[in-house]
This record gives sequence, structure tokens and C-alpha cells, in this order.
Amino acid sequence: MNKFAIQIIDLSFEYYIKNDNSSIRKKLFSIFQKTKNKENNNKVVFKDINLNISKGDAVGLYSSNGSGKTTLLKLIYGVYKPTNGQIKINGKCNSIIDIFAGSENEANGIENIYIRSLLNGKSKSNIKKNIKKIIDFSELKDSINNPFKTYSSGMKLRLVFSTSILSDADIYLIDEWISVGDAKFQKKCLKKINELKKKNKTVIITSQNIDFLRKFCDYVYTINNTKLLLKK
Amino acid sequence: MKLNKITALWYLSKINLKNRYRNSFLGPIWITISSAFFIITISYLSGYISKINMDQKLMYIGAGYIFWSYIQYVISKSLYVYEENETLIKEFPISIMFYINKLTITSLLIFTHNLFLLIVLMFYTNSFNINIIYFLISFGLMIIVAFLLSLIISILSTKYKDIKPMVENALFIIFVITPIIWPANIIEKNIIFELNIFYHLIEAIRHSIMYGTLKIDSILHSLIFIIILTPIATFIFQKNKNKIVFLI
Repeated sequence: MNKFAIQIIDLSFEYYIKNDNSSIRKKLFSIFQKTKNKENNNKVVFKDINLNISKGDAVGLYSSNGSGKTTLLKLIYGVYKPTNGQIKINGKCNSIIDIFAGSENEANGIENIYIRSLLNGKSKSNIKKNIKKIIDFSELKDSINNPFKTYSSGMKLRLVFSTSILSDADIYLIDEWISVGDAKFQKKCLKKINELKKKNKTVIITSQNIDFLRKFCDYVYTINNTKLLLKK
Repeated sequence: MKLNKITALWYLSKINLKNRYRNSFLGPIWITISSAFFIITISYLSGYISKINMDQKLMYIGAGYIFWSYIQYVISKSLYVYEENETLIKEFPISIMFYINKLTITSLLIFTHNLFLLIVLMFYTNSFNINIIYFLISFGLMIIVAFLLSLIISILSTKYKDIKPMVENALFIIFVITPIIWPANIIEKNIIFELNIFYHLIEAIRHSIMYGTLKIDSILHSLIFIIILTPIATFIFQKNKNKIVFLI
């Protein structure tokens, strides 16, 4: 049975960029002007793209900086809303888009596990049940009680990755996290993602490392001039 | 994504408050202490000037200032609410309304510290005329107005940077022109009183606490204000709810 996990249908997306002309002063002056200033200067990121990802697929997104990889993940996760078209999600979705986002700097590791998990839709009892597994996987040991702001980038990655990957989801969206963290932890993460694939979970990973994506993913797509193209 | 909003809201609001006073010796008690200092100082100062009974003065200024502090806190924090939650907004697919609800809960948690001060004032001045039902009605209206104003101001201040200094200055002016620390009867009622929603909100609460009565005209003014404000807030929210993530 090859049921879909994600269906993107005729998706178009414009990134909203507010024009400098939309200050209150300019807005007031524009009342008396014949020609109106445009409020925004939107950037077209995607135009009529279609994509069908089946359950258990590992999909890679490869392209240069600023072409829309993270934007596509945010669209799938629902942080951004499509300008046109639609995205259908079949199952629970979880994301590791920005390891520094979604965390409270003053809160300690345990509190941050709760914050991230609650905002990902987990119940308190579910978090309580999983918390030991998350702390063990992150290898943060006693540092788990220290404020998040005292963590190094690698430690932050361990906490965020462990919290997200050990939550019970069907679709995992992972954005260029590979570059952060030490080699040993990277290996551990890849092993965990492989386990997820075997469990028929869907994984979408973005990276600028094409060799890694080719080795790890079933399909690799590239974003070129607002279009999504199959690379492998 | 199905979010257990109440659990998440409650947990995040608690963490917010905890972080605010992390490494502080007295913690949230500072809120009560600073309000108490302000109320006592102003009451004694104005007591010398107007020679009015000190107990009555303490209660009048105390009730006015404590509830003004609540509404002022909500409005001033709403100016920066999306910037303060930027990392969450950019990572999780949650409506911006969630952050206004979080602000409301955090403000109410902070307010409970000042509520303790109000109870102390009631005992100190031996004033137990409070009518709990009338108080809840009046305070409920204040919470609704604060919520609607914070929703509007938070969006507009994120969109237009000029709004922040405008609102900050307006809050100071409103504090001065509203009978919060000075008695309403020293000047003749005029249009500034009638249209000043903050006067009506605070007067309604004061009456329920000090005299145990329901100040009908202030309640009506508050209700009319809510009726006018609700469609405005809804329109601004609907028009901008998906844009905020790009503006912070």
C-alpha cells in the first residue's frame, strides 16, 4: 500500500516583503496622492509546484542558499501559508528547522524539552514518559539543568534534535542540521533517521551536500527559479 | 498539528514569569513591593495636599493604581509581543492569537501579586464593602478590553514602527488625565471623562470594591467600547494573521 504522506498541489508562494513606503507618514500622504504606493514588494519563491511524497520516503532538497529549501519545509509544516494551491499532510508532522528557534534562552534543558514538545502538540504525560529517553539520547547529563543560553551550538543541537526525533510523528522535516554537532553525534542522528525510515516514517532533509543526500535519500529535488525539479 | 493550547499556554506563561525573576532574591514579590511603594507615597503626598481621610485615599489610589498597572502592562507588553516570541513564531505553526493569550495569562499571573496588596489594603483600611459578583463583572470587562486592545496594538506596532513610541507616550498621557491617583470629583465631568474608556473601566472596579455597587454607566460605556472594538480587532487580525511571521 503506497499511501501519500505529503501532497503539494499547484503550490505558489510569495514571500511577503514590506515596502519602506508603508510607514504611517507615507500612508497618510498617500491618501492625497492619485497614484497609490504599493504596500509590499513580494518575492515569488514558488510557482505552481506539485509534489507527491509517499509514506516511508526519504526526500532530499538540494539547492543554493536563498532558493527556498527552508521555506518549503515551513510551508509543509504550516508556519507559512501558501499564496495559492494547497498542501495535504497525512499524519503527524514534526520539524527541526532551526535549532536556535523554538527555545527559551533563560529556561533550562528540561523546561525546553517541555516547551518544544508542548508546542509540537504533545501532552504533558507523554513528555513525562519520554523525558528520560530524550535526556539520555542528547547525552547532556547534568547540563540538562543549566539554562539553554549556556549551551554551545552542539549542545543545543543535541537537545533540539533529541526532543524532536524521539517524539512520535509520521513525518520529520529536517533542515541543514548536519553541519552542526560533532561527528559522533551526527552518526548517531543518521542511525536514528535510518531507523525511522525502516519504521515507514517519512523524512525530508535539506542540505547543500549532494553526496550525502544521494546516499541517504530515495529522491533528491532541487529548487531552480521557483520550480521544483527531480535530481535523482 | 493538534496543540493542547491550554496546557501549552499555562506552561509557557509560568516559564515566562519564572524567567523574569530568575536569580532575583525576592522574585515576583518585587511587583507587590514597587506597587506598594508607589501607592503609599502618592497617597501620603496627596493626603497632605487635599486633607482627605487617609484610609479612603489609600483605598482609592490603591484600587486605581493596581488595575491601571494591569491594563498598562498588557498594552505596553503587546508592543513587543511578537518580537519577544519571534523564535517560536518562526518555528511552530501556531496562530498569533496564541501569543496574545499567553500575554493575557502572564499578565493575570503578575496581577495576582498585586491582588495580594489589594487584600492587605482592605484589611489596613478596614474596608470590606467589596461585592465579588460586581467586581468579577467589572474586572472581566477590563480583561476583554485589554485583550482586544493588545491584539490590535500588537499587530499595528509590528507593522508600523511609529506605533511603539506613540502608544508609550499615550499611556503616560492617559495615566495623567485619568482619575487614577487623583479624585474624579475635583473637576467637572466633560467629554474627556465620558470618552475615556480607562476611566470607566477603573471606576467600575473601584465602585465594586469600595462601595459594593455596580456603576451602570461605566459598565455600559465598557460594553459599547467592546462592541465597537471587536469587529475592528477581528478585521485587523484576519487581514494580518499570516503576515506577522514575515514582519519580525
